Amino acid sequence: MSRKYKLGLASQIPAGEGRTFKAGETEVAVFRTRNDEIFATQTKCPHKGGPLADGLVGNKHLICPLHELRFDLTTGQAIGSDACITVYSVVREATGELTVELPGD
Amino acid sequence: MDSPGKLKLATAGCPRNCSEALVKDVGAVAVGEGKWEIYVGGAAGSHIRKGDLLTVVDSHDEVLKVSGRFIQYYRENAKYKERTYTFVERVGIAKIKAIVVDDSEGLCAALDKALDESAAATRDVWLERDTPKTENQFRTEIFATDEAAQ
Repeated sequence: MSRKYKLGLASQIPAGEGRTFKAGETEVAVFRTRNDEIFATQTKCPHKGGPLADGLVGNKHLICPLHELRFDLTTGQAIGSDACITVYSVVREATGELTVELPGD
Repeated sequence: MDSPGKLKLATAGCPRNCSEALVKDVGAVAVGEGKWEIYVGGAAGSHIRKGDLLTVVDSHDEVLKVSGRFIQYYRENAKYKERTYTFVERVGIAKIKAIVVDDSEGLCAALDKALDESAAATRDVWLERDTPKTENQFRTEIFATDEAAQ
């Protein structure tokens, strides 16, 4: 069964940046793009474990800070590589509260 | 101050060059009688390259002027993450020399002005330690609450 976690307000993530959240035992990287869209992914890059929350975010793409692997935040698919990352669904309430849904643990 | 890649600088007070100014992005070496040689595009890490002699100037102020002008030309024309050792080779030292020393394209005044403006706008980023620029700037992890637990 999936489990939902409240992350707090979207405003605690500066536009164009990401932050790591701890939801139960799972770490989740949550990003807010400059267009004010919210995405959530796994925290570590599948290549060498780079901290994805510290990556560059632009136009629904994420660039890992270590070796510049690029990912599409909507699908988790790497661009120009076979790698992919897990993406989680995030819901934003009208109040700005974020809720992330994690698959059953 | 932001730049396309990092800049390593050194200055040496005599031609023995203890600070290894010949292998820096920008290096100034005193060669006696108040003269300074300015080297650009050097590197001494995984990539090794001796800097190219940009020019020889007559005073401390001239060193700052010309090397600052080079840095601004680099800031405006290098590709993202392109270090000076690649930039100088790509553009060519002759062209860089013509532009920043001989002012062949009449850009020098604009380069000097742009550098001064950037320098004036530069803030001490360490002040952000006490007054973070963005929320949670230095947090490595934010705790979420389990909805079922509420």
